[in-house]
This record gives sequence, C-alpha cells and structure tokens, in this order.
Amino acid sequence: MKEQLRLTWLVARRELTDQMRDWRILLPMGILILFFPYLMNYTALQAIDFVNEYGGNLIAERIVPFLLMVVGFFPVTVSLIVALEAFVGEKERGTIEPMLSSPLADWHMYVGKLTAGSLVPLAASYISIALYLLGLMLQNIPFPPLDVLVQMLLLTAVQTVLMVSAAIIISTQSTSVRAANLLASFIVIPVALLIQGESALIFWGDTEILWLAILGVAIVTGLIVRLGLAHFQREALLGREIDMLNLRWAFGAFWASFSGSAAAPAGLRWLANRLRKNTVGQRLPKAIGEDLAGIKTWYINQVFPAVRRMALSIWLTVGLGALAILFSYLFVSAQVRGLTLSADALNETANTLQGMITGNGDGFSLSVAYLFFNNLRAEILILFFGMFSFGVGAVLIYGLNFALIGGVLAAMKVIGLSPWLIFLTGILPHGVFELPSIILASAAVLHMGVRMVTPNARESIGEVLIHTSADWLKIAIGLAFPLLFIAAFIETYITPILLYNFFQ
Amino acid sequence: MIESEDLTKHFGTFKAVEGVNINVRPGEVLALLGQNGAGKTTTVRMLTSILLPTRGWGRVAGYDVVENPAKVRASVGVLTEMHGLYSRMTAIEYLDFFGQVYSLDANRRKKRIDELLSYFGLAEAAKRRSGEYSKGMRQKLALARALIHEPPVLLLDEPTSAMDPESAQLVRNEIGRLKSSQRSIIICTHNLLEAEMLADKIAIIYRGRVLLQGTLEQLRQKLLGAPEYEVTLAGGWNPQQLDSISGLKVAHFTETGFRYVVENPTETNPALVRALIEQNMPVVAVQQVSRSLEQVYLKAMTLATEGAL
Repeated sequence: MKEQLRLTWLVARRELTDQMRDWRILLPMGILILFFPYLMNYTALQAIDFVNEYGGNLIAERIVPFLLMVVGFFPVTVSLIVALEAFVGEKERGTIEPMLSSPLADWHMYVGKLTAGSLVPLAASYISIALYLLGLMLQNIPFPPLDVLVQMLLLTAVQTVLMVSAAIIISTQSTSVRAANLLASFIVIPVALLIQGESALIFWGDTEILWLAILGVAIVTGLIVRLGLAHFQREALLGREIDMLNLRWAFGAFWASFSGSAAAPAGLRWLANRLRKNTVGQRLPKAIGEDLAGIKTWYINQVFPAVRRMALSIWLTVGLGALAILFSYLFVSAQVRGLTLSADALNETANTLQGMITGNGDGFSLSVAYLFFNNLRAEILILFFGMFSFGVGAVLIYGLNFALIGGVLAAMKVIGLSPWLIFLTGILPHGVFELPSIILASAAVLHMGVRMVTPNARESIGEVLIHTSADWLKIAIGLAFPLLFIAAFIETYITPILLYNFFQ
Repeated sequence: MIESEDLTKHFGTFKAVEGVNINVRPGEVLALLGQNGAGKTTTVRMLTSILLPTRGWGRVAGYDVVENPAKVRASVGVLTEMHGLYSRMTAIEYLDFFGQVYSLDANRRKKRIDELLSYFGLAEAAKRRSGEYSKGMRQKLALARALIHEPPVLLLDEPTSAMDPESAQLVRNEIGRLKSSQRSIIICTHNLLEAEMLADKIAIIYRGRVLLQGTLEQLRQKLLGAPEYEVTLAGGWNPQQLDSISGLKVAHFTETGFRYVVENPTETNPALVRALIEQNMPVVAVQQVSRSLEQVYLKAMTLATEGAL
C-alpha cells in the first residue's frame, strides 16, 4: 500500500510542481486571494450598513456567511481550468504516452491528478476565507456562527473535488482541450444552480437543510470520483480519435438495445415506403400484425431479462420503500398527537368521495387521465433527477413518495381511524399496480447509476448510458406505464367507492 | 525477447492492425517500416500494454501483454513519436521523476542520470528547463528517459528524428551498444538508411498487415530478384567476345562494361572471371550493384498498392 501511495503522490507532486511554475495559474490565483477577500469585506460592510438603515438586521446577518461562500468559491473555479486539461492537454502535448508506457496503474494517474487538481485551488480558497475572516474582525463585523463556518469550509472542499473530478472525467473523454473546454458547461451549469440553491439556503437560514445539501453534494462527488475511476482506461485515452457526437450511431445503438433488433418496426417501414411513394412492400395490416406478434418476443427477450439484470436494484428499492413507510409512520405517530376527526369533517370527506364517485361533486373530480399523467410525471421526475445524480436523486424522490404513505397512515391512526382499513380500502386496490410501477421505474434509474459507477472495460460511459436508458424505457413502456394506467383506472372508479363505504 | 502472433487491433470497424507475427530475439534489432497510419504505432502500443489486442497475443520480456501489463511496461523503454517532455521540468527533474516511476533507488537514479546526461551531451544543460531545449536536445532527453531503467526491451519511434548528424551518430552508436548487450529492439522509422544500418530484420507494414519480413538480403531477393553485378573493363574489348561464355546473362551494357544477373554468385562469379580472363578481356573490377532498402521499400509499396503483394 505504501508503494501505491508513493506512486500516486509522485504523480500529484509532479502536477503540483508544474502548477506552481505556471504564472497563468499563479497570477489569477494570487489576485483572487489578495484582492477578492478585501472586496467582499468592503461589500459586506456596505451591505450591512445599507440594510441596517431599513431595519433589515436579519438580511445583514445572512450576508456575512453568503459572502464567505463566494470568497471560498471563486479560487475554486481555477481548478476547472487545470483539471479540464489534466489528461487531454497531456495527450495533445504528447506528454501522456511516456506515463502510459510506464508501470503506473490507471488509478495512480487518476487519483494523483485529482489530488493535485484539488489541492492548490482549495488551499487558495481557504487562504481567501481566512483573509475574509480577518477583515471581518478588523471591521468589527460579527463572525458567522461556528456551525455555518464549518459548513462553508466543508462545502468549499466538496465543491472543489466535485468540479475537479467532473472536469477530469470530461478530460478523459475529450479528444482536444478545445472540446474539453466546450464541454465544461456541463459542469458550470449544475454548479451554478447548486450555488444558487446554497445561497437560498444561507439566506433562508436553515442550517439543517444545508447539512443535508452538503451530504448530498458529498455523495454525488464520491460517485463522480467512482465513475472516473471506473471508466478511466489507457485504451480510451489513446484509442479515441473521433471528435464528434455520432447521433446516428447513438440512436442506432439505443434502438438495437431497446428492441433487440437493428431493424425498424414493420409499421414504420410501411410508413417510410408510403412517404417515398413506394407501393412495393408489406401492406399495412400485415405490417401491424408483424409488430403485434413481435411484442411477445420483445417481452420475453428484452423486458424480462432487463428486470432480471436489475434484480438487485429492485430489491434495494423495495427495501428502501418499506423503510421509508416505516420511519415516516413512526415519526408522525411520535410527533403528532391529540388530533381528532369531527363528525362534520368525516361527513365532508364522505360527501367529497360521493361527489367523486357520481361526478356531481363541488368541482373536484378524478379522471383516469389526470391520475395517470400525475403519476407519469412523478416517474419522469425520478428519471430526470436520477440521471444526473447516479440514481441518488431518484431514490430520494421515490423515498419521499413512500414516506407519504406511512405519514398518511400514521395520521389516520392519530385521528382515531384504523390505518389498516385505510390501507386496504384507500391504498391497496390501486397500490397493487401503482407501487410496483414506481418501484420498477425507480429501480431502473438506480440501476443506471450503479452501472455507471461500476468498472467496465468493455463499455464506454456513453455505451453504458445508452444501454441503461434503453433498459429504463423497456421497463417503463413494457411494465411501469401500463401498470400506472391500470392503477389510475382503479383509483378513479373503485378506490373512491371502497373509501366511501369505509367512511360511511 | 519480443514475440507476437496474430496480433490484431480493431477500432470499431476500422482494422488498425491485422494479424501481426513478429519475433525479435535478444541482441536483435527489428525495423518496422511503413507509411504514416500503417499501424506501426498501434503495434508498439499493444506491445507496451497500452492498447488491448482485439485478437492474438504478444509477449515482451517473457510477460504476456494482456496478463501482465505492469511487468511488460516495467521491462520496456519506449521512445514515443512525440518526445513527451514536461517543458517546465529540468532534465534532472524529468529523469528523476521517471526514475522514481520505475522504482529506482536514489543512488541508482543519480548514477543513471549522470551517465545518460553525460553520454548524450546534456550535462551542461541539465539544470535548464526542457522547454528551452532545441529539438535535438529534447529528442536526446526523451531517449535518456527511455533508457533510465536499463530495460531489456526497447521500442523506439523515430529515434534520430530532428537530430544533427553528430547526435544521430551518437544515438546509433548507443543502439548498437544496447544491441550487443542483448537487448531486443524495435525501431519504427522512415529513415531507411538508418534502418539499413541498424536493423538485423526488417518488417514492412501496410494498412495494418505485415507484408514482408526478413533480413534485408531476403527482402532484396524476394522483391528485386537475383543480385546484379557490374563488370568494369579497360578499353579494347568486343561485346561479341561474351557470346562464347556459357551461362552469362548480360542484363545491359554500360559505358565501361556490362551488368549481369546471377542466381548463385559464389559459384558463378569465380568461373565467370576465369572465362573473361581466358577471353583476354581487360577486367578492372567486378562488383555487386548496390540495391538499397529504399528500392526494396518502394518496390514493396508499389506492389502493395497494385494489390500484387
């Protein structure tokens, strides 16, 4: 292990020496360290004076930690430039090949460069923060609370590693420094959004949520580092020579992975022939018949094997769902007490349910389409958040959905109703279909994240993304969406009747 | 020792290298010749365990390139097409860095650095950053890096490119010395004269395939046919005198004599010289017409382009 660390540090030390000899890195860093804290001190003083004039003491209080975050963040931006060219820059200058020809392991180079890329900007950032705090002291501005100070220091550290690790991934996947710089927007945009969110939390003053945000960023950072380690290969660095997005290839690979065949569906082929005014070929009924006959094969060869592939993710998701229900049930039971449901409220609920059943309610009625699209939106949201967070976001939203069930059941218990009967009449009938749907859709996103961070010498990041997205779509179209539709139908026509009878 | 069988590399549908078989014994130099993009660098990268072969196998210094990549890389000294120097490091720092990468202890590193810098005439510039070096100096420093750990196998891409004649001679001498100390060496080069001087064996690679492989003489025989000799004669002879010499196939006459092609010169030439003297022909000299590697290479390329090879 000592030898492994020696080699990693050797790479890092060389990089650090190189950085410390490059005036193009040192000069902006020096300016940011020396000038920026002073500017922020001045800004803090002016802003505090200004808002105090109008009695905005609270805002004045929150400006200090906000500017602390800004002071810490700016030197970190330099890390992006260094990290973006970590591998691709060396490839362009031809300095990478002697390293690749040496006994250094892939991870020695990756971790060495990650360390070097993070250390200098982080050191600059902490010096800036120290100077800013010194300025506050000299201007008799109160320090932010200790927990906020620790939060800002941690946030700066995780954001630095986040940016550097993401930039290194881009660097390993790019063919030129120019391409890497252009791809940097994929780091800048999410980080900018992150900073805005963190700023809002600072002004909101909710330090508990800020702790959670730091934890979330740290988890995503860890996963990005893992992704980089999983996909960093000598072969990929020197073997990739094409610098364009091959959408045709990507779509072809996606379709082949989704359908199990490179050929387009017979119905589409018929349509294409029609558009070309080519009357030779299959007739429409036959084409539709062929496609319908292929559905069974598709389920057998594509959908069920995809479910088997993500079995671990499905079990994990089921377990997390059960835990979310249990914890929220226990939490609400412990926290909420002394509530009762009056006879009037009970009648009102029964009337609302009757209105939903008969369609003669006071404007609130459920429809299959409404419920289906509402749940569909939730599953798309899970996909969206999961795709950009290696499944972490998906699991969080999924967990919140399940926690709601536990919370509602606990609330029913608190007001004196039987949670079991509520579950049997109000949740289970449609839940039999809806819950497996959301479990499968979330598990497919979690599987996507797990596959991304799992070392795989045979597939590139792009290929993994294509294959796992195809798996998600198979699960969604083949199982999750049809289950949602059935659930929406039951929730519209059966669940209200059962609930109404229960409340009666 | 460098061996490979059916060594193949495909990038998607592109066949970069196809079925390369080579065998370089200790103390041997193989020159890998071919156009740009022919597959020389990809072959070297597979033999350095940087690229995984799509098919086939390779063994370097006794280690399989797929099974033992770290040991392969520790046994190989590579001079890449681009010198690959860190411009903000001095020669000493650069060699010391790679010495540490190859796990040489401090004493050995210092000894090797001194030896190499002194041999390549870089001792005076040792504390200057390599960014300030001339092209030739950079090339020498890159070669020094490839030799720092005294590897048993050397893979050298254009070892003397950008060098002045004296430096190139120095490098060639060093390659000769390494060869005599039982290193296995592969040189990728476009400098055919250099290949002719240094190589024991030559492999010509075209569009990923090794078209021809063997000693220079074997390649000459195969591509240019039997050797040609030129007889230089003093004045006062008659071409008809040659008609009576049996087995002599005159290729063409020159101003001072004639040229002939002979399948087996060791047997034919002494008899021919005797016959010429018996015919009272004034023989001044008999010498083989030189056929350079360049002629061999160009012929191979012509035949390959025509699909005849």
